[in-house]
Order: sequence, then structure tokens, then C-alpha cells
Amino acid sequence: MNRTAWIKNGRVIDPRNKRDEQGDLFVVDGKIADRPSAADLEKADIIDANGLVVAPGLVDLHVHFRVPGQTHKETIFTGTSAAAAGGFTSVVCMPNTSPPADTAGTIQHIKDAVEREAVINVFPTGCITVGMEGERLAPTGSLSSAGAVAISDGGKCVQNNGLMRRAVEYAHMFGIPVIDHCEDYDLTHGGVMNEGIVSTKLGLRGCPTEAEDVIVSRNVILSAKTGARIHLQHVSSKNAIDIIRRAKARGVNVTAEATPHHIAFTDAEIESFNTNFKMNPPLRSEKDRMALLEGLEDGTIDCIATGHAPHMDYEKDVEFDYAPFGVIGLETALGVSLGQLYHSKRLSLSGALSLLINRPADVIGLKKGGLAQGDDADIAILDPDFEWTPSADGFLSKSANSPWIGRSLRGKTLKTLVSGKLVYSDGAIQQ
Amino acid sequence: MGSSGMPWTRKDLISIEALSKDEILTLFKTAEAFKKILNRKTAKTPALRGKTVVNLFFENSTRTRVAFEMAATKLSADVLSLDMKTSSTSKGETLRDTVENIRALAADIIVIRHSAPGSAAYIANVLDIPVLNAGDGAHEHPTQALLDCFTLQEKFGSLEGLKIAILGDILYSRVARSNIWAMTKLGAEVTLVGPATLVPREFEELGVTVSHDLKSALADKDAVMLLRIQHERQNASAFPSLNEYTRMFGLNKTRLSWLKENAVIMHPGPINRGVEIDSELADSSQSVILEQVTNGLATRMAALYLCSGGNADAVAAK
Amino acid sequence: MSIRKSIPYQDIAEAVQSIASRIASQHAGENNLVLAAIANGGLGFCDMLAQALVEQGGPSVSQAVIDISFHRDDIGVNPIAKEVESTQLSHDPEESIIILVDDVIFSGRSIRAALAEINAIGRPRKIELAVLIDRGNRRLPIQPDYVGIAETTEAQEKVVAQLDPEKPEKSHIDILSA
Repeated sequence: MNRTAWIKNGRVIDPRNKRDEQGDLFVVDGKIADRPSAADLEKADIIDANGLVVAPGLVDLHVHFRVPGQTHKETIFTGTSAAAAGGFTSVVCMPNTSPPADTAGTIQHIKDAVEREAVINVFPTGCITVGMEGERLAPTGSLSSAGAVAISDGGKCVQNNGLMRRAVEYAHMFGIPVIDHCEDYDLTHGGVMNEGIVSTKLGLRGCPTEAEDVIVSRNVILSAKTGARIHLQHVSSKNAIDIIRRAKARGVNVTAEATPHHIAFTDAEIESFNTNFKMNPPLRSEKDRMALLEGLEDGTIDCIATGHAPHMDYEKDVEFDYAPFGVIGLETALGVSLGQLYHSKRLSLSGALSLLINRPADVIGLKKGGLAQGDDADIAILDPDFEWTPSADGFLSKSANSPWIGRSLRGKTLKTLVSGKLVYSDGAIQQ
Repeated sequence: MGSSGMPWTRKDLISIEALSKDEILTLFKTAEAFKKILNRKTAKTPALRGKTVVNLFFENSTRTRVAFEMAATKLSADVLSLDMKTSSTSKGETLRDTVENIRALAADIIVIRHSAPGSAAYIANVLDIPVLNAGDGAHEHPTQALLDCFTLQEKFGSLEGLKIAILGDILYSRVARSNIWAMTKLGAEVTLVGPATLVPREFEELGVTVSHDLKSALADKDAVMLLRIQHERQNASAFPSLNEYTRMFGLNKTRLSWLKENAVIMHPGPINRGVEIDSELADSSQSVILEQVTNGLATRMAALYLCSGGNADAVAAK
Repeated sequence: MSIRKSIPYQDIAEAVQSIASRIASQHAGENNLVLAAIANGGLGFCDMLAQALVEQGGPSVSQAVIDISFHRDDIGVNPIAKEVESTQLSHDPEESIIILVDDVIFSGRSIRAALAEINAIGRPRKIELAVLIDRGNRRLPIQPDYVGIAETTEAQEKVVAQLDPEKPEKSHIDILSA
């Protein structure tokens, strides 16, 4: 497969390198080349990007690819296909699999599956604790050597503060971040949505924002003490954002992400009892949503991450109380994010895209997310004004549990390249 | 509002939140007519003859189930009660599978009680036949609120301006939620009172007053509705013990005297004598608890009858 | 639909007086006479009839309302058209002679339902039927004892009686065809 390409006439936006201009982009043998030779240009695949934006491939720090053990929901192939369709060329997958990724062997299993099937780059994470049970540390060093780029307990949160402190100190030795889903279980006990006027009306048990705030505080304190990097997943609470802002002002080594669904929806959506609005942490109030957008604007929140969580229709099509948490998001992230941050005139196009490209890469320390000479040619060619409406049968993901079905979005990826190779175009994966 | 001027045109009764004041008053008028019939020698009407009502009860409830069975029978409908006990986890047959089985039963009307909020709406959206919500988790229990407010209307003529206190565990109560909607729609002034852990301030957004002080909350009220207090796992940490609850919030003679002189005592049942209410008060002349039960029959007959009428516009379009 | 024929107030007034006098002569001296209007159509006509009986010095009558909502045979097929009025009839009609009163008789099904409703309450001495207008097209073997106006109509036509007891001069009966 040809890894040499000449992308013509696009608007090249490379936020890390402060580039936003009309021009051509050259790829030679899978790398960005500022000055290709005539021979290179001869064998290059020509891609016409007239009227389109040419950007580094998007980076998602938070996906659930269900391998090993839950491939009825998603496989590495379907998951990375969905990612490519969304313009993502690098994703970090969570370790809450069956069995969970708490041994080097499971990490290797994942890497083998990635090697065989993945259409884009996949970076695995390992567990913080054995079995994600929150009781004993998993072998962080071995996991890191095996290829884990970070440790996390997936959708779970270590409740024992003493254990979390040790986990954070230990991970710091290996230079990898600890990624945490911030939730105090005693405060969310039995909750299925945000605690507020909507949960009060509907008689559904609520998860108060305190559950997130309390653990965010804990993590800020532990990071301040140890100097270790803690990355806070899917922040949803205004109070938590205020805590993070003050922590960063003091120089504490924490980073944070927000999901597209949290910046677009509030808990009012749940009046329909539609389980495609059931996630953890839950959709919150308008006050919280606004605080998230402000946090993305002022840098308190470092990046956007989808939390892509596939579930089968029969799993979600049950009573609200019983449905599993989570929604897919890879294919809609760009449209949603541009809608909330760029088309709304909060940020420039480059500013909005940086939250999906170089900022997430920087959080994890990935050498991705730029188009400088010699960088991997991971490229997304996208139309920020393309209007489209997701449908249940239109996803490349194996699952269709999306809150965006039937809702129009503005912004879509048209072509995706990984290491110079065209992997997605015209709505389909290129083999 | 139907094109014919008949306020009630809905096929389902899922929540009081969705009803208009006119619809509630139409149901009351219909219930009055049925109540008259219940006092005749032949206390039965052929209004739903030939129809089959199926009670799908996923949660134990002998009282409500029997009440609906009786209502259907008095309407000359045939009635079938299915005990659909499932475990409280998601294991076992889910609603989605149950729906297909319901279709096969060829029922004309479904009455459903379930532990999950939203389950009645789920079934109503999928089926073409009328669906009545007999309680969906902590969300709503429409027929209970209708019989409660019907009883108040009988006693006071109208709920407009009536001062009502609802006392007890509001947070986990579908009876409270449905009554809050019904009473406020009918113009009553509602005060919720109980421990702070069971009566959160959020309820104020529904147009009621929230209080944790029993004396001021009961002062000058025309009616007090007591909710059954349970000390189950689900709200074990919400208050220390039943004993403490009774001492702080139980209704006794002294506390009853804070209300207006001829105020009424209401309770959806079953009563915990000595817990939320002193035993002798439950039998006092001010209690309308038994009338509530009697009115439950006529109001449920009215609900079944009105929902069977079908959506006027949809039927006209056929 | 357009109005094929309209029956004016004078004809209605004459019909009412005629029925009243026939009832008076048929039941002279009777003291347990009940005029039972079938809700809602019979209500206006029943008031006019009671008034006419008083004017003619006929037997004294008490008035009742029969609501037939719960005896319909088409629930779920046709929508519920009106709120129930609630039957008002004395508990024990054993000694009464009930004259059912309705504005229009058509298929006869309303009368059948009214008979069922009365039957559920008790067994009067006798039940008779008075209608302002008989439009034919019967589907049951039920015939009125007193008819004000007889008209031949097609089944698909509509007959609408607009009776105004407050301003009787404004009353009229319209026969509408497609």
C-alpha cells in the first residue's frame, strides 16, 4: 500500500505548530515531508482537499474496545473503523475488559489483536488494581513494559485513599499517568442519573455532583503531594472544574478531559427515559454544562475524549434502572465538538480542533497530533460545515447506542490516513 | 382536548404530570356516576362488557391488584392477573420480551405495576391498546392520587385553595409525586414535611412548600396525607430508626390539633399503626382512610372506562 | 354537508303540544308519572314537554335523566363523545310510569340502552317512549308511543335538533345530506 501522498489545496490546520493556511501537504513513506523530491511526487497518491480542512488525525484518550471478552459489543476492527470514520488516528483503550488488563499477558493479547485487525493506532492501558477490585496494586511496572501508556481502573474508582496514594507514587516511578474515573460509591449508591430536579420528578435515584467533587479533590491532593500526573476522566461537575482550576493555578500536575455528550446535553434529556442518555458520570444541569464549556475555553479542561462505550441494543433496550451506562461517540465527536465550540463562536477552528488533536496527545505524552516534518502522517481530512444526521444503522461501530440518532450535526471527517495510508474514505474503510 | 369537546381523549394513563385540570375533573365526574351505580341493587354496569383487562404486576401488591380486578369486574370486563415477579436485578425476562408475550395474550387493556420508573411509558409506547400505570418505581401512581383528590373533592367541594400537608417519606414515594401534581393542578396549596433526608428542597420547583418543622407545616391545614414509612435497605441511612421517626414526625392527637378543627386524615395504606399514625387516630372520625379505599373503586372504573374510549382523533381517522 | 330541509319552530311547538295532550289524555289522573330525558339529546325536549303539560293542566310529572354512556355497544371503536351526565332516577321506580323522552329516534339503539339502564335500577310499572322526530331507519324492533313529527330520511343523512328552552323561537330541526 502506498504511503506516499500529495494532499492538494486544503486548509492545513496544525494547532501544535500554529499553522492555519491554504496549501498542500506532502507525505513520503508514511511521514510528513516538507520538501518531497520529484520522484516522490511521481508515486504519490493525489488527494484533492479543495474546500476541506487537512488536520492531524484526532486523538481520543478514552475508548472501550471490549477486547478481550466482550466482542459482541465491539471488536478491535469495528472499534478502530468507527474511530477512523470519526477522523481519529490514535486512541487509548481502557482496561475494563474480560479479563481486565491487569497482567502483561492480557496487554500482549490486546496488542496482538491490534496488530491483526486495527485500522488506526491503539494504545492500551493497564489496571491500577488487580481485577479492578480496588484492593491490591496490579503490576504497574510490568504493564508499562508490556506497552501500557497509562494505568486506570476503567469505569471504576479506587475508593481506598491509602491504596490510591501508593498506586500514584508507584506509577510516578515509571513516568506514566494514572487515569481516574472520579466517583465516590457511597454518594452515588444506586444512582442512575444526576441528582437534581429531574431525578426528583422522575423518581429515579440520583448521583450528586459531590460524588465526583470529593474524588477530584482527593486526586488533586495526592498529585500535589507526590508530584505524580493524574488525569481526570469525563469531568462533569462545575464544582470539580473550580477545584481543578485552582489546582492548576498552584501548579498541581493534574489534567482533565470532557466528553462531547457532557458539553452538549443536560439531564433534562432523561425525561424521555431513553437509555442512550444514561452514562456515568451522568448528564448534569445546564450550570454544569456551561462550566465545562468555559473550562475548555480557558484550558482548565485540557481536551475532549469520547468515553466511547459500545453496548448492544438488547442490553440498552431495558428499563432505565437496569440499562448499562455508556454511549458510543467516536463517529460523532467531531460534529458535536465543532457545534458546541466552533460554530457557536466560542473558539476558532484551530482552537476547537486542538482539543481533539494535540492537547490529548500531550496529556499522555504521545508523539502524535502534529504535522511537522518527520511526524507520522496521521491525517484527517474533514469538512467542518458538513451537515448530517446519524442513524442507527449508519455506524461503523458494532453497536448503535448513540444519543445523536436523529439529531443533526455539523462537521464530519471525509478521509482518514494513518502513516500515510488511506484507511477511510467515502464512508467506508479502505482495505 | 378532543374535537368533540370531550376533555379526555388519551388511551393511556401513565402520569398525572401529563394530565390537564379538565381531564382530572372529567375523570371525577365519571367516577361520581360510577359511584352512584355502585350504590344500586345491581351494582354493576356493562360499560366494558366483552373487554379483557390484564393486570401485569411485577411488584407485589395484593391491594392495588384486587382493586383493579374489582373495578374491571364491576365494568363487566373479564380480568386476568399475572404475577410477573422478577428479581430486582436485570436478570430474567425484561420488559421488551414481556411486551411480545402481552401481544400474544390479545388483551384489550393492560394495567401495569413495576419497580422501574418509566416502565409504564415504555409499554404504552409499544402497544396500541390502553395502558394504565398502577405504579412505576418511585415515579408515579396516578390512580392513587386520583382517588385521594376525589375524596378531598367529596369532602370539601373543590380543592381550590385547600391547604394540604403531605407528611413522611416523599423522596421514595410515587404516591407523593402523583399527588403533588394532582393537587397543584387542582389549585391546592401543598406543603411537604418530613426529615430533611426524605424531603429534599428540589421539590420546591414543583410549586410546593418544603418544610422540616412539623408544627409550622401542619398549622392551619385542611388535610394531612400520611405516607407509609419503611425502614428498608434502600433508605436505611435516611433516618436512624422507626422509633425516632415516630417521636419526631408521627401523627398523634397533639399534632393533629395543630390542623384546622375538622381537618381530614388521609393515608394510601397499608397503615403502620403506631409508626406514622397513632392507632386511635386511624379510626377517628376525622380519618377518611376507608373512604379513600371505597373511592378507589369508582375512580379506577372511571380510568379504565375513559382510557378505553380511545383517542378521538385517532379513531376518527381510521 | 348541506341542509336539505329545516323544520321551523312553529311545527316543533305544535308537535310538543300535541304530544303533551296525548300523554295527558292517556294518563289522566295518574300521579306517578316520570318524564325521563335521555341525555343529552332528550334534555331540551323534555323541559319543553313538561312545560306544555303544565300549561295544559295535565297530570303532574317529575323529571329524570337517563345517561346511557355505559350501555353503548361500541366502546373502543367510536370515541367517547361526551362526559357522562349521571343517571338521576329515584331509587325505586317500582310504582312509576316512566315516559322516556328523546329528541330523535333513529336506529333505536339509544332506546335499547336506556331500557337497560332503567332495568339495572328497578322495574317500573310501565315504560313508554316519546320522541320529537322519528326519522325512520330503525335497526331494532322499537317503536315510540308518541311521535311529534315523522320524516323519511336516508341512513347517511344527519338529523340535528337545535332546541332552545330559553328562547324557544330559535329552535329548529335540520336534516343534512352530503
